[in-house]
Amino acid sequence: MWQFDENVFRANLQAYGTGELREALVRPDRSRERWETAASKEGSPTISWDGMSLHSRYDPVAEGERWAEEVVAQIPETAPGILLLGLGLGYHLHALLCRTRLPVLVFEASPDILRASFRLFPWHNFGDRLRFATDPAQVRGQADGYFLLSHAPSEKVRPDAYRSVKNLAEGNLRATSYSLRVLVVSPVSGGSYPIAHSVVRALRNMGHRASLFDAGDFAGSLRAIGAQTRIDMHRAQLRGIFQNFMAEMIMARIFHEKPDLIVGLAQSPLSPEVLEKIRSMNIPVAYWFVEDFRIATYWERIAPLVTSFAVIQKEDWIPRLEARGLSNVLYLPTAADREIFRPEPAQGEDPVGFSAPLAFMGAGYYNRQHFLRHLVDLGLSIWGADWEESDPLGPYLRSPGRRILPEEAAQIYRNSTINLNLHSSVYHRGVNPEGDFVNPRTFEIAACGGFQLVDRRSLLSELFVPGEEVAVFNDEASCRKLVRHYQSHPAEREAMARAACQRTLREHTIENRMESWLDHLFSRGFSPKGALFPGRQSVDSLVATSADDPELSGFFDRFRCFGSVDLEDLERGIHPQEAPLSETEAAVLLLREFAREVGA
Amino acid sequence: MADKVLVIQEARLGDLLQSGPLLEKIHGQGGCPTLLLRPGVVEAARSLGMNSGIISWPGFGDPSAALSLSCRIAGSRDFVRKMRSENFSRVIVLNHHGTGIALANMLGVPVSGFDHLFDRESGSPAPLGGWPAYLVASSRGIRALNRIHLSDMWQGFEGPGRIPSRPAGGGGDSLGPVVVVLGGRSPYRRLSPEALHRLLLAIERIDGHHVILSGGPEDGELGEALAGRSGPKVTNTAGRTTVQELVALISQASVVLSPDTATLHLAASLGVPSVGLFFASALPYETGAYREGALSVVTRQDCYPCSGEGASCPSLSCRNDPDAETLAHIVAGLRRGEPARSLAARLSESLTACQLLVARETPSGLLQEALTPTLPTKEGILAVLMRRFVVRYLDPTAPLPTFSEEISLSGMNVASDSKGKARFGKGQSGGVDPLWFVRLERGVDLYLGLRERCLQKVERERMVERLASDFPMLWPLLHHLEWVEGGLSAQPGEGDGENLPRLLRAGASLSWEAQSAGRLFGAGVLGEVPEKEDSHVAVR
Repeated sequence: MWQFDENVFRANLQAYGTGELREALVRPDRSRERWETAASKEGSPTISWDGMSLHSRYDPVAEGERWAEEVVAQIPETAPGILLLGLGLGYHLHALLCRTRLPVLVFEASPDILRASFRLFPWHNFGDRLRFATDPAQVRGQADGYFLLSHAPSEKVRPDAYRSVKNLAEGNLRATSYSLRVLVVSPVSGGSYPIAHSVVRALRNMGHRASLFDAGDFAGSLRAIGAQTRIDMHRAQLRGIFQNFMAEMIMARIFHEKPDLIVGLAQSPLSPEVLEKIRSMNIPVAYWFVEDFRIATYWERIAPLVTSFAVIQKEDWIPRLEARGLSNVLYLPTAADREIFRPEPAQGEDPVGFSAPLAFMGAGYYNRQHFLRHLVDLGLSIWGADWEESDPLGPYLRSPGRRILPEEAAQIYRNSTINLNLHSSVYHRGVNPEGDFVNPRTFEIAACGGFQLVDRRSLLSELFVPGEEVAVFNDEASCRKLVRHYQSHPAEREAMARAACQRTLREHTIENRMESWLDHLFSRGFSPKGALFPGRQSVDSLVATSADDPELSGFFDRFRCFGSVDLEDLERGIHPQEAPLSETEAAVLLLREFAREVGA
Repeated sequence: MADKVLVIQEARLGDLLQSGPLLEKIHGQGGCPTLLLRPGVVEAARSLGMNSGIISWPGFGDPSAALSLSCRIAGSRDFVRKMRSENFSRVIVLNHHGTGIALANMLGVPVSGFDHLFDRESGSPAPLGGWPAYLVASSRGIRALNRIHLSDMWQGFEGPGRIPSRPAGGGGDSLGPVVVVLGGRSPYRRLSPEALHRLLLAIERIDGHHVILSGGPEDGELGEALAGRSGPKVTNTAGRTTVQELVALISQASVVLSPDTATLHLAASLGVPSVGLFFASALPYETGAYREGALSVVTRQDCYPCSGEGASCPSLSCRNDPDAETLAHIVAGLRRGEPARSLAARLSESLTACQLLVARETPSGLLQEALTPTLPTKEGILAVLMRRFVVRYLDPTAPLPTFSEEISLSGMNVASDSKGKARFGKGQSGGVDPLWFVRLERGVDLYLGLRERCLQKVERERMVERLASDFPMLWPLLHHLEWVEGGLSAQPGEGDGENLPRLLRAGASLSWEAQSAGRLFGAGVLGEVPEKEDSHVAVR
């Protein structure tokens, strides 16, 4: 069992407290409100950052031993040393040092955490083969060829803190090497609207600087326009004026944000005119067309104007697009937002109110209104919009007239015995025999660990294994049969749900999609073009031009993953609460204050 | 070793001149001040011969221009290094500006004045304390009630006490020209061209002395036109003088007549007799010429001072008072050395639409003595009460005149008869509701009780909201102490062992004086107890 000891700290300070590291070690904690220590069940302390524990709350020592056992086997024999990202309190490091004689360089972004660890473990016992760094510049040139290991919890709570060092160590440039500035443009409403929010969250989790132009803020205005007049011509004119207004706002936002990339969702106010303007500014636009191309045909005007056109359908369509000379097409199915759709119950979960033996969550499309009538004797409950209480299905409506929030849908998926997923159709009376794309609900149910019966779709089997991860029906009869079977075979149900959940969390999250998309973009020559905006400059050129000023070039080097930076980016990369300011950092903050004054 | 003090002043020339008393105070205490100024003011500061070292902020380049970030950062870093190498013992930040505050906090020495920003767009307010808190509070929402001069607030940044009072005049040349300043930065704070023309004609007729028109480059054309219409005794120098030349001009003037401009403050610093014209939102209490004997003229209109800059005012009629004739008489009298009281008495008939004030340097700060009587109003009395409270709270050692002396100085000529009831001066109707002061007293007492109890945050906020709602006259006090100071010493053991007792003492005096004001207007000893008060008794 380990305990904090000031004598240990003093001995560590004596061994490691030189140069910049000493400064980081001797000054008071500056992020105290973000972390706290607590005793684990085993008795040794553990630490949490922003409420997330960096070590096991039960037995951090054993957890560290298990981690070290696993990673030591991965270290190549030829590795000259190990670069470890993330220290936490150091259980994993201590275990590692006991298993290898290689030199280890530890990068810990937070001096507060470093000091806490220095109070716990007698690192000085490991002598010169153990070194610590709190600044990426201290790592440069010190870990060439080192084998890279990460303390996953540390990286998870602060991905941006370790990104640049990781890239430094990996030495290759990929999409994930950059922290892009991305502006996501949502539609005013509709199915793509929550996807836009999910995209922003996913990009931020990946370490990108994503912001949202939320056209949903103007939903009320658009409705109000419709209410002013019944004269169609006037409505059309007003909507046209409104569309121009939205276009102006998007442009204003672009000038403010200076994005490296714009991501547009289907139905977003990125009109052809706006896309032309954006194209003339050389800003790439990635457009996710999450619609049925046969029904929403505006893609014909949009697709040629964007850098990357991502679609959720394949065989019938992509060849057609390519025949028109479009080579910017990417098949990108929808996915689950794991921040909302996850297997763990939410706080305040209502497992009774949001569950059923057979649950259907979705809007009352034509085919569903007919199909579900055949299932009413199987414990059916229906949630969603556009269902009529006067309909024969009225008695089975659980929240008639109320729009279900995504968080509530997640509860339904988690707590219901069987989730029925019937893709919508406006002209079939049940399953669309030609249905191809897979809807977001397929992934969302799976991400929640829910068991799912889904109608046959041609693109489903490459995403989930029918019969192993999802159960698939072709018509009402097969659906009834499967419902009866799985209602009385819980073990099979649970196994399939578990398998689908694992696959979704591994392959079908919004983060997965964004990574694929960005990798695709980079592989086709995309790179952050932000340097074209006034005030933004390429980090490479800044490092190069300040080569004779090690402090300045080292400072810029921290921002490699941004590609290009402006003063605001540099300011965000300085954390006065966490470490004493260097002269360069002080200079940046002062310059930033001036920039604020002139509104730049 | 001399106390090397960096004074960061980032505002314009007028504010720089109003920093003069602070610099004198630092000198008086054995300190050696150095001013850090914006580039546009440095030359002027050197020309003014200000009694301090001068350092200029570097240009830092236009942020929107395509200059290399590395060059700009390197330049900024060199500047920070240079400032650190100056080895200042402390820094005083006079302005609520991010730049000065950022630099001050980088020097590693004690910072007084503003050491952090009260608010940023993106964050929630961070409480301020001391005189900086009052400066922010007075500039946001309680400006009309402010009776404390900016120079006094800045002197407060340096600690208790003021510079010794200086004699009136002593500068200028009584035979020199009258300098008329055409206007400052705001178009709403200047006389109209027609009014200026009438004024020049009146001065020529009544005083007959040479007039020199002064102003910035934007006033050049106007000055030429006015000089052309006014005859040989009027000369235009607007837009043609360097700061050095302006200093020479003013130092030889007999009288300076000016709106609230840097030239008015220059006159004050040189001891030249001056008449300040305050329109729209400009207040002589706040930015009047800081010199014993300096005159100021303000309108009596209800809408003065403006809540804004005057941009939305359709008439700008505050600029019409006093008329040109009266102003010319004032100028002439001042030039002849006529005592201000005598001048006011002689011109009383024509000063009915405006107030004539004379500055008095006192140990508690610059006061504006009203030379023309004014109707007592609850706002006017509240302003006096607030000034006295703030001085007691922030500078308890400063000797204050008595309450009745200060009321009298303000021109609210309220005397009491043998029964303690108010008698008003001739022509005054005494429309003040005495109960208003009773409620003020009650509200103050309740608030002090709340502060003494050191309630938990949520309960405290709830009670403060109730107080603000039930005792709206408390708003200026609450604005300062709660919303800007954040209710310092709200929790036991938090922050300021000295603040709370000082606040309670100042508050007790405020309560007593509010009671006195109520008695003055006939409220009696007990007064009335509003029924809502019962619900507040719990906080006692």
